[in-house]
Amino acid sequence: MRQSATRIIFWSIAGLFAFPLFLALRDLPDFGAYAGPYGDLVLATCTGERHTPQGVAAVTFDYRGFDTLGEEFILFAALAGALLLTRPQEDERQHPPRDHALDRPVPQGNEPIVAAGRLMFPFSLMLSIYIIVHGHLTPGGGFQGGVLLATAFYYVYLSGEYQDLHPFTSVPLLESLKVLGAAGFALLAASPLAVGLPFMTNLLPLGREGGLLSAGTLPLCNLLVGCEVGAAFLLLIDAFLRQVVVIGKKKEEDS
Amino acid sequence: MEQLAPLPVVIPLIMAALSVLVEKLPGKHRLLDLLGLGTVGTVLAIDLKLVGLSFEKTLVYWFGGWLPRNGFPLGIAFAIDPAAAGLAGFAALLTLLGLIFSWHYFRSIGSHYHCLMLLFLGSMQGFCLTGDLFNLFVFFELMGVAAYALTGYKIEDTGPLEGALNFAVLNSIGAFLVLLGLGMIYSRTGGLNLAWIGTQCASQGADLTLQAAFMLLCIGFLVKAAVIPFHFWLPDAHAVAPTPASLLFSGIMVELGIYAVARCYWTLLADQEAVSWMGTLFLSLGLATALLGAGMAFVQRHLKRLLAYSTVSHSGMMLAAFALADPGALGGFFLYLFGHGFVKGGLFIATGIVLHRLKSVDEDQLRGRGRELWLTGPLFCLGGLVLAGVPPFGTWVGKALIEQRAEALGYPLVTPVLLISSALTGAAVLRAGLGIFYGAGSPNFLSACAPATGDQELPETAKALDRTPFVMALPLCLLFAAALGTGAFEELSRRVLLASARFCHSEGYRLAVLAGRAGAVTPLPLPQLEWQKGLLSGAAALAAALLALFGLPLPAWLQRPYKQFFQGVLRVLRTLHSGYVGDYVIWFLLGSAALLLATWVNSGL
Repeated sequence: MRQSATRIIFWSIAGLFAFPLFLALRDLPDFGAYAGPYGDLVLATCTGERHTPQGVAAVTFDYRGFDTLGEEFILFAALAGALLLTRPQEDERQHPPRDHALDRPVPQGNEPIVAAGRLMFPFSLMLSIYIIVHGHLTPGGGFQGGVLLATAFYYVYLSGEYQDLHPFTSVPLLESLKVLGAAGFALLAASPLAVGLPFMTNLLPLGREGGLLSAGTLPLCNLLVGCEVGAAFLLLIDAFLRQVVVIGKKKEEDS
Repeated sequence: MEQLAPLPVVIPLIMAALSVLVEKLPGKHRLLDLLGLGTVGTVLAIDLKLVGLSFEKTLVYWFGGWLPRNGFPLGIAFAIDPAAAGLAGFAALLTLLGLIFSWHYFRSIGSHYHCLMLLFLGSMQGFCLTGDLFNLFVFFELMGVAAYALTGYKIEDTGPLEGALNFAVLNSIGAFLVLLGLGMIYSRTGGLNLAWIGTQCASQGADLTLQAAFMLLCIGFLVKAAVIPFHFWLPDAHAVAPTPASLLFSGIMVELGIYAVARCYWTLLADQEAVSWMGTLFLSLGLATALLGAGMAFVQRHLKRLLAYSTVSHSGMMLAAFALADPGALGGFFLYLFGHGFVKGGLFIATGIVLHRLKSVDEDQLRGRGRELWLTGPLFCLGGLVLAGVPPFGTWVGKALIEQRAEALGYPLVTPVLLISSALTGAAVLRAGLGIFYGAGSPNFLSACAPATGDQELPETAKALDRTPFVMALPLCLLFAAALGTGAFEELSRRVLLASARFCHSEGYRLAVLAGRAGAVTPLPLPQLEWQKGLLSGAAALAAALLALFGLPLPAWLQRPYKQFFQGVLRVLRTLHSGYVGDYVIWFLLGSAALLLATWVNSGL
């Protein structure tokens, strides 16, 4: 009763909200009618001044690299929050890992799935590394590649057991990688300050356009961000799995 | 010296990342505290330097050395005027005092606490200093994420998790609206720099699209500012966060929401006739928030909830001050922000000390048990008077300035509403203080039945001591001294008025950012402020507190209807503040719909 009433109220108010918004959105430029000038200026300058054919990467890590630094630390903060919320509590204790589902028995190892996992793991790993190191040349980069990198390891868990994933989720190592990615990016961005240049100025040689080692700091930024994002997503899955597979409430155990 | 500009953001971010590694070291507690204090101290020193520099000339810092091309800002700029630098410094000062409070007493310290505090600090610095709309959004998000995590810090209890969830859901929806408005503005103006957008708005004229986009930005920021009907998350979150986090939330984070609205207003649309209707709208929202927050504060017995609702009320007063759209009133806003932030911080610290010593934050359960707290008690009660705005504290100067400008601009209603709401919030604190520390009176019929009592509050500290540690008393005293100093030094008020005159000078801001030229402004001379109203407000607070403690001397036949009337009102209010996040979202949507409809109706005029 309460639920359906709430729903009716919600949708009628949502209509009231959408109506003026729709009227306001009518006066936006038509789809595809780009008036500039931001994009045009970036495209006019990014090949000549930064030796990268990839305008998006140039905006992300150079023109508006400071935003990206902020975004990277949003991920860092979100992860810190997630780890904080899943930290071991006093009334919890660890038991040997065991898979369990609430409503059905846990299926035992299934060979086609294991085979699929074995197939996907190296491909995902390779693709993620490709996407990270080519971030300044083709669409992609550290954020996308980093998520893929973690996905490769998710396949290990999905096709196997928690124990199979465990060797890859050494918390000290992953935390160091995460810190290296975050602090490294910030320090790289801050390094021009030491020679009196503005924050995030490119100090590295720009190289030949289209080369793997070109576009100055862009590949390095991608690498560091990929490092942080990959480590962060692995830490996250580890923390979540630990909650389900390893940790139990004390009273639950005793009873 | 402009090279200093990025440091207040970058230093805390780097140190936050490194603090995760320090947590792994032996002897980490002392080390982390030193690292945190050193970082915040450095940031504070840089901010103070920036304040000095910005008074000479607005500092504009282009990241990556991307200077404007053909007048178009390609990169991200920090545009640091005295108001921006001053607020950043204020945020750093409050963080410093919060970290002193938690100096190696904090329970389960090392679980990312320092990391999150430093990230929170860095985000607030960026939020204050930036001159770029998207960058503002990025730091808005970072500030939010760090704050949600800090709110849920005490995971042993369910309250913090619920509070953090309500906080995260409502603020994330608000952030979506900011992003939507930002996208609309970008598609129309082609840039993200505030000064650039402002010049574009001036040439295009503020039509429905731009006004609606601005309104969407405001809605997102007003969620953070906890203005009705977007305020529901605040008491749930502030009441459960650890003491240093509550200090920062109430002292500066909420107010930064109004700062962002003011910044966007004056850089984007202030010189457009077409948006003058917004002043009345924000003024009524602000005054309604002030009254509702004060009423809700008065009927709480959970000390932190009481303080949280009083923050809602004072945030409403500050929104009203902004809504007057006047440099003088904005000066009052900044002074009030400082004065309120200091005293509210002091009250939260005092509550933290009460929790440390007496293991509860429930007013009625603690009645008379706080007699030994010879320092905290008097200061807590004094805090009630300061919230009410007695001279010569910072709250008094700010409020007197706001009231004077409101009367001069023809808004006579502002003064009485500010008087009632500040007196009522002060009365709530005084009532609790006199009861807890001096055992005065008995539980009153309004707050005694509050559903959240606070006697189950988990202790934050590992072991109870029979005396208040020095590191807890120090920030308490410093905060009250600062609240006094804010009001007592006339030179500070003059400087703030100059800063707000610069803040409101849209043309000068755009010239400084886009052309690197400085425009001259003449600040309002500091008027003679009336101290009588401040005393009246304090007296009203005291009277209301005594009334609540000892009851109204009414004849018996009047007692019943009198109680029934207030209990009826109370029941309605409590039903509205249900604690269900779904209900809060509906209120949020209702408020957003109303504001957008108002925009539609008024933009056609």
